[in-house]
Amino acid sequence: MNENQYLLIKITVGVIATIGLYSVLYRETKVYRFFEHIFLGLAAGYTLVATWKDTLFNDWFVRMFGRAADAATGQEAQVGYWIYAALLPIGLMGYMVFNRKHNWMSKIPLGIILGLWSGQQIQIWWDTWGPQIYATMKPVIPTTFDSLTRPSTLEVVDGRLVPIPDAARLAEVNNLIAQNVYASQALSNLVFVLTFVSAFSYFIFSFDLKGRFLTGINTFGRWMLMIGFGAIFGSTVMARFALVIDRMSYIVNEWLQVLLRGGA
Amino acid sequence: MSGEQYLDSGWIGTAFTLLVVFFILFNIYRANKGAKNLFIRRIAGLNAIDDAIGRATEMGRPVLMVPGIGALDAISVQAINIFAQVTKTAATFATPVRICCANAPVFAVAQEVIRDVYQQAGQTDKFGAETVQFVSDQQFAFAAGVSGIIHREKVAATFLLGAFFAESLIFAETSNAVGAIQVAGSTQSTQTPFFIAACDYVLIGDEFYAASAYLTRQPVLVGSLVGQDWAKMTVAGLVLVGTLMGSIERGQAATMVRVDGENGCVWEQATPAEGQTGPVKKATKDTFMHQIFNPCIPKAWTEVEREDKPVEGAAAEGEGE
Amino acid sequence: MNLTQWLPLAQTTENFWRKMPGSTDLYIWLGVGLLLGFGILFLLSMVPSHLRRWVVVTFTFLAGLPYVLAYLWPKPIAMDVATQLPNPGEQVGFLINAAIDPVGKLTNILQGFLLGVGIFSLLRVHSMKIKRKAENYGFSMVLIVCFITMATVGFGDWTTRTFQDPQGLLNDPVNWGFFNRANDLLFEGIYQQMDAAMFSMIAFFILSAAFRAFRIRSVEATVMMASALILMLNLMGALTFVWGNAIDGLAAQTGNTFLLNFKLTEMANWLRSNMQIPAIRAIDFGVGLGALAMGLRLWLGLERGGVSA
Repeated sequence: MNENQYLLIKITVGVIATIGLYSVLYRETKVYRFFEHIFLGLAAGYTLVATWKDTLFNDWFVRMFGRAADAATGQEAQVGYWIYAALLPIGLMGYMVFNRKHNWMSKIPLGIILGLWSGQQIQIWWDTWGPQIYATMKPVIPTTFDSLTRPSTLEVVDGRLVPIPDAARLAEVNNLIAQNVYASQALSNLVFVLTFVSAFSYFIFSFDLKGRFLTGINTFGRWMLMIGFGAIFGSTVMARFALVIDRMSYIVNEWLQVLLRGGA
Repeated sequence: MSGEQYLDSGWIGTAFTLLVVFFILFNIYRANKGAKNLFIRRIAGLNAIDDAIGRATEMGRPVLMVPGIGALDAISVQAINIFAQVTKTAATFATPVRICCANAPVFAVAQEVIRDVYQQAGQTDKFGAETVQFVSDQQFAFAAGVSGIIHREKVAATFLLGAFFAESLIFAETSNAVGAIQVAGSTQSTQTPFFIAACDYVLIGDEFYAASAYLTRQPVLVGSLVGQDWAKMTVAGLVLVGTLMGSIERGQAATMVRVDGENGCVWEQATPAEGQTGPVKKATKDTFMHQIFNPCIPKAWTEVEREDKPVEGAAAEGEGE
Repeated sequence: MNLTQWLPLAQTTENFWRKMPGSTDLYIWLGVGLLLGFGILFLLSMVPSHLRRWVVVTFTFLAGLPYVLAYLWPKPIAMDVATQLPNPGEQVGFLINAAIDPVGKLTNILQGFLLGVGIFSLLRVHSMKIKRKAENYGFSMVLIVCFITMATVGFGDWTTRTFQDPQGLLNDPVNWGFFNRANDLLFEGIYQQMDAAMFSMIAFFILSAAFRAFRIRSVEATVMMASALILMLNLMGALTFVWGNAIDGLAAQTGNTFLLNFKLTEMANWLRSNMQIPAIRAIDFGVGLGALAMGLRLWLGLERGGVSA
């Protein structure tokens, strides 16, 4: 079997598998069921291998046994830490989950994983949120009323929009922009801060929001959330269509091409 | 002694984290002492749980739950805690339950917790191998497997709570196709819009975390929720004050301006740009709040004298000192 | 004890904790480590039931402690690990920080060990179906066969590549053996394609979900879909191009550069940066706070559900 014939077989089975899974869009049939079980079986097998080679081998096995010096690659010997051997029994405690008498022991490795996660949360909390809290404090009062909107760095020359040609004047405009908050910017910033605070107040659970003002803020917050969600929805749609187009191109372009080449 | 992390963010980071921790622990303490006035507002999605189970019981079809596809962390534990409540109700009506996991440690926790629920309900015989199952820890293989289960078992209700990613819509739309009631909530704000578009009831953001406090009214959870609210109000207040202060300062004239460069942070005399009339206005970096969040560190503070590391081989001799 | 012996300075020298690869010493100590682990396992199995909760809580607490200490204890400033030694006052901080890396790896290692629990569940569900000759049990057989084949072939491929191919000859398909070829066919040929197929299916679902949402069930859904529409229009290249050119022309004609703000891209950007970002930040902050609170409760064993029940 030459390389082309192999490629033909490989892509053909890929196309069949793709169509098999797509069949669920019409109805869940035996065809889908067959390919679904193949997928699950392959995924389980792959996960097993990947976990060993990407995680356990490097992070556990090699650390435990060390690695001899390799003259070919010039790699120095790496010492082995024997204490890593003690992790195996601790990991095995997880399998006690199926044991009726000692099932509580499975909570030990699970507790360790959760403890590590929890400790990390405390460590990273401020690093994640501190800068964001600061970034929310935007200036909402204009510093100048010379112009309501930010001066433009563009200018009409010969009926076309171009950056201001006079370098000195461009620098002056840039300096003005850097030092001032214009009314239009202040308004945008106000929208920003109000959106944040109202959306944020929506997530306060332990106060009974009474009165028109507070319920008003709450409703406004929910609307702002919906606008934000809509923006996410809109931006994602196109990315998802790109995926279908990629699949179509795989079936039509690649498969047909190889089919023609394989037959030649 | 100061260290790198304190140079980065100053004292405010640690102080604020400790303050939040204090808020939470103090309110848990308060709730445990039996404080009566702790209130939680209504969360719409959670009231739907009983309806959904009732419908499943009527139809004699199972309830499907997915605790997201994330690793074992607070999110998946939280989802399992909510599922334990759902299962408790389902067990009393003998409605079958299917919990599909995408992570082995999450599966192990769910197995433990849900088995406990059945034991307490005195229905150990109803807890089978399929009640809690591990499907796959590969995102789309998991999606394919769970879709298959939704179709084949014609589930009457689905609970999708936890960290979901792109696969969220596959579950939501497939459940919709078989006519299931859906209660969903993702901590990933990027997936929430898809749930809103496709599901009947959606928990937004940390309504998800508030859920178990709402359902169980356990003092620890309610107290913690109140502590979180205190922290949120502090942050909202800080943002409003900071915004106002910064806004006023931006309009003021600056005599000194902050310069961050190779020599660390230094304050220099403010000089107007060429041709500028009027004083130099304060930039964001010159404001008070900026100094609080990004302390000005002169270079001298970051210079520490240290011994040189001993050369290879000499390290072994130094041992046992 | 000199704290610096813990540091990852000279990985090539031996001490109590680390031994030369392949040495008898290492194997003896590995045996000791294994015995130690099983000893702990044995001792734990005898813990009376009223203390069990505390054992779990203690392990959880100890696991989280290094991170919390690392956060509270000052980290050495601008230290070059390769050439400098920490001052006496900095040694504790440095030790904690040096511990973070191996401690962090623990999660991966334990998750790796626990994967078997999941695989066991999967195989149990399907082997029971086969045993009972339940409806569609043939598909369960397909699953188990695929699992065994993929695992065997995958390990075969990994072993040949890692241990028998120092020159990297296997990067060229011409030199492939059976395992490499089979792994390529199963993984690249089938598995990856199925993965992509499932991912791309979302596009169809997004259409049906959008269709239902557009049929407008509430004011909120309308607000959401209106904002979605602006973003979607913005991503349609041809439309933004035509609209943008029209605005450019208008601005040049009237000399009013403010009009430029009404380009689709500008409006979409404005919506994103002044509404999407703060709204999402508000949600994520709440979620982060919830995670911190829950982390705290889990770490201190205050949570009554989950593992510390």
